[in-house]
Amino acid sequence: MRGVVRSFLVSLWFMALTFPIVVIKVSSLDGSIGWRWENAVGIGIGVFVVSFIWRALLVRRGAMTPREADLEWLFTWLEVERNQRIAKAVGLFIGCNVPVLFLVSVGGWKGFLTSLHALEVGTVAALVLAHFGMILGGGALRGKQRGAVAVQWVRQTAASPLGRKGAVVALMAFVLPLPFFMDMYQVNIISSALIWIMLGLGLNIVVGQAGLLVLGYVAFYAVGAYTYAIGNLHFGNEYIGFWTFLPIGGLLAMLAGVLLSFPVLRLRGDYLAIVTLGFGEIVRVVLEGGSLSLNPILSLLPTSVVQALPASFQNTLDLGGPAGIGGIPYPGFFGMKLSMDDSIRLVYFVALGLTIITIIAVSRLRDSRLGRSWAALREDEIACEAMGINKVTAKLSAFALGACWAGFGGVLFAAKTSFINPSSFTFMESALILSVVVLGGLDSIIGVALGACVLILLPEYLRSLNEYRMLIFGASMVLMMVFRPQGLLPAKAIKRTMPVVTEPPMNEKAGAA
Amino acid sequence: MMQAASSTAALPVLEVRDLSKRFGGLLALSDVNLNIHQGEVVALIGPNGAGKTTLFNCITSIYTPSEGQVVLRRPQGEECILNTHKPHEVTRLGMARTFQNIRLFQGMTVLENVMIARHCRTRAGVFGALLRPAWVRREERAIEEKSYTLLQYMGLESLYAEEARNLSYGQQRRLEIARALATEPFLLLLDEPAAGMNPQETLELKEMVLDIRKAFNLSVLLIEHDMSMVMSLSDRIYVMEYGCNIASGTPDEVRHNKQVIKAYLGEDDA
Amino acid sequence: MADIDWHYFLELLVSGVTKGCIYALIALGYTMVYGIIELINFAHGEVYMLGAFTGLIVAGVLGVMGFPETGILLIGGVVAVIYCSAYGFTVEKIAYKPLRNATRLSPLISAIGMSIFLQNYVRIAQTQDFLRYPNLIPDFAFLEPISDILRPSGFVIIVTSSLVMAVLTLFIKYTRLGKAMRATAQNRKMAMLLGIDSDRIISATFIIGSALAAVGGVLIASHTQQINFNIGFLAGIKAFTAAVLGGIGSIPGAMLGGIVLGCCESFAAGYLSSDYEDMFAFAILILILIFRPSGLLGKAKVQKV
Ligand SMILES: Nc1ncnc2c1ncn2[C@@H]1O[C@H](COP(=O)(O)OP(=O)(O)OP(=O)(O)O)[C@@H](O)[C@H]1O
Ligand SMILES: [Mg+2]
Repeated sequence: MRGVVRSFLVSLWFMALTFPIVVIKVSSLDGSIGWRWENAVGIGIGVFVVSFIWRALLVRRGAMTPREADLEWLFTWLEVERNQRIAKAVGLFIGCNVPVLFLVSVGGWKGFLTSLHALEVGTVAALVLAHFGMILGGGALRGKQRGAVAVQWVRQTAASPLGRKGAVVALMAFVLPLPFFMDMYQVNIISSALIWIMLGLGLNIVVGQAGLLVLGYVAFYAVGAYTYAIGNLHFGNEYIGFWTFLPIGGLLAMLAGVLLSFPVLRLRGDYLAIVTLGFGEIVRVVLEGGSLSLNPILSLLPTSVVQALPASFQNTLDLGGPAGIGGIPYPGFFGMKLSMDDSIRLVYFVALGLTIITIIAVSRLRDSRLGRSWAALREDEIACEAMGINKVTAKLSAFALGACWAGFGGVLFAAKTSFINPSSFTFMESALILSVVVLGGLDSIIGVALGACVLILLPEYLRSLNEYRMLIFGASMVLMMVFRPQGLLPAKAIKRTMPVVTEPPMNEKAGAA
Repeated sequence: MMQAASSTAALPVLEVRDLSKRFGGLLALSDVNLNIHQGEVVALIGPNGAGKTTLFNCITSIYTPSEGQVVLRRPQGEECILNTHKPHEVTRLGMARTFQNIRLFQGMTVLENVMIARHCRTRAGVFGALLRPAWVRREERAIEEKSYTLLQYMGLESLYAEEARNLSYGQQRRLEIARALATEPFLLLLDEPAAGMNPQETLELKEMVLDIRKAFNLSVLLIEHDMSMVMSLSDRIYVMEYGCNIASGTPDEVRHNKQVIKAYLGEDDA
Repeated sequence: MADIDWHYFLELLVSGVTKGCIYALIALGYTMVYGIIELINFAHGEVYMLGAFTGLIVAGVLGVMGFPETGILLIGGVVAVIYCSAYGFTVEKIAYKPLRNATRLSPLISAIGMSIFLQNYVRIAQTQDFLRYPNLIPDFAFLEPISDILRPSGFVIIVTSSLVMAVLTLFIKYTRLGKAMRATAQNRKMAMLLGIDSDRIISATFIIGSALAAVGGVLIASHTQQINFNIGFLAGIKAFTAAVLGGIGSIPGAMLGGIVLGCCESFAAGYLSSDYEDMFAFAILILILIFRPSGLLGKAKVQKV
């Protein structure tokens, strides 16, 4: 009973809190006032329900006792096993229906039926919510009770090397022919998702592995994209195209990463975050400004080199300003003339190839001398130095490699969209990449891939939800941090099987002396 | 003390000369002198806040000394003045340390903690990591094996896959020593290694330190509050109070030194 | 150097101080929160934006009811302050309190999420267009002679913020709560051992910080006369810069930092180029953090090993 009163009070509080913004509407035209009482009612009911769930989840997380949450009755009730099953069923039912209801309420029936993939998305969302429902349903998700045959099968396969190889083959068999069966719109979306996986994994090197919070990652992405766009404008021809600019973009981004990292090497956690954020904004402002004076750089070069450059390069560099740069060609394929559709497919394959390379590279880095030095840096800087690791090199290499991948992603992005402007490179993009990493699970490769898919594919398919996209992002970032800070698929320690070393641990030096 | 020097017949491996360290107005160390010879176990004792840890931090370049010099002589014969070195360079030169408030990489496994310490004795870089040629794979395996051997030595091998934070206090202290040994030092600095251990564990630790010294051909400098351990373990003892050396010598000499007794028992009219 | 255009100089100075006062008001919230829980409260800029919106909405409603303009400004301001305090309090309870013992990264990401959420909450519930802000500030007769340098709104901003900051300083210095806040900022554990309820202090910090941001929001909106759902982002970042410039954690530092930053921006825009006005703040931020990370009035923190 006290729980109900409490939720009621919370809901009153939120109704009052949101009242001016949500109920009163000031027209942007004439400043007239409209009243939307129905919103207050919606918020009241919504908050009332959510506040129960919130407290129940906090109890589950161990942040509150059932008593503090005024939910003793719920948890005593849940102690009986039969009740847990009931709760699970109810959770599933609500979980499956809430997304549908939500879609309907947002888009109306018609919108719901016409929205392209509402059903697919509904299923995914239902699963996610059902998961929460089941968490509520007690230890149902733990240990043997996890029982579901499918889950166990997946675990076993993942545990055996043969199973893993089989899974990779199956996955490839699924993704390779994909663009030949889907329409180009969808292929494009999947290419975007792949680019985002690359970006996520690149940022993961810096944030997840080395523990350096970077909020201006999009700047490196922009460097890559603009390298291709501008390079193509000035130097592009039959022979110099995407494949030339891909490594150049990566290198320039890397250079930017190194340049940025010098001043920030000494900075601690959140200062680093803010400076990189500032750096990202500076890059954006420069891009919007439209031109960049090259004189300082050119004055360093010998005159013969300067004169050999195209005229457009000789003192200022045109960045296209807010309008951006267009006409960026698709990647070439051995000089063949490709149809529009084939070009889009090619972009898909390039993205796929780069993503696979990225995944391999990142997992190798993680399990290497360098990767360990990053992990040490993340865990404890002072101990890291005391172990003989050069902090500067470690930070520098993390920045450089992370930035490099953003550069590749940028070049590919420019090639995919054939038009870029500064609005693709705002802080929001940085925040999105970060949330891909955080949502998936810091330092977890599969997690980041999953995070990218969830964050990019979901809103693409949920056109009717487009308006709510960022709202949901923001909320889910908070919710993730509060209830599942380790991410959807958290990283696991690298598995090692130890050789049985039996020889006495004698030091070579001891023998020599 | 002169005898000790002549018996090892060489210059000390570590020499601290008139070292001072100031924190704002606080003089944490003033004109501290200290020598360690090859193969010695030297203890540094003194009441809380005497500046022992600060001295360690100055020696390992985590703090830069305000005045004075720290000289390290490597077995190969070169002589380095450490004042301008970075901590990681000091480790590379062959001096390793543990921390008073344990600084393990808590979220990583026991084995990885030791593997990290192999960093300065191995050389794979970015391309090595990405391309994984045969020599890198060999190096990786060598790192794993060497680390595992060290864990065995410290009696931690069964815990190799455990996260460091799940270890008991005594185990964590031993892991820190294993980690320090993995950097192949010739001089090992231990900051209160027995803190938080029970008498049995302390006894084992003492044996272990003596063992390590033999097996790895090390010199050891340790800070310790447990007097019975200090007295039975060390060849020589330095006593500090308020940032100054007040006495030094063999355990017997120090035990009977008036100033030391005064520092430990307080002002006494008797 | 004889022919400095003094008039132009003064104009820039006054506009810099005006802007600086707003930065200072917001920066105080950052600095106070950082001082106590070492968190960059990313959502703070959004609270400022909510303040401006609440002020506008109240003004709209009262305007329809036919209130006099000065009354509208006052009531709007007060309501905005109350609402923003409530928002600050709620945001802390939802997004930061459950993360008290988490790693440093978690609350920061939670804060970014909160910031994105609040921006879009206003965008969806209100509009994404710019809204015109009514001119509520009366013309002061005594400002007539210098009206081309100091607009009435600028005058109100400078006076109000000086007043608010003076009150805050006294509050922190002399009241029980203020002393408890300083103690908690010094050493939270110790303060808790001495019987200070740190949760209450943290809430109070958020409430006071948000109230200051609300004052800033209402003032700046009546100065620039237009608002939009993402004004909080840039203002927030710049205010944070100001807080760092002054030395994060230091209350007088935040005030000084705000005004210095405002003036720097204003002069740079006036004498160099106005295209890149927003860039100066970031450039300054990067420079301070490199050369004097502890800020103008902050104390350098040494990490004990
Ligand atoms: N980074 C620092 N900044 C300011 N003062 C410091 C710093 N590090 C140490 N001190 C001060 O230097 C003095 C010596 O401290 P230190 O930690 O070296 O003592 P200690 O001998 O190791 O004591 P204990 O036996 O308690 O470990 C203390 O007064 C301490 O407060
Ligand atoms: Mg100490």
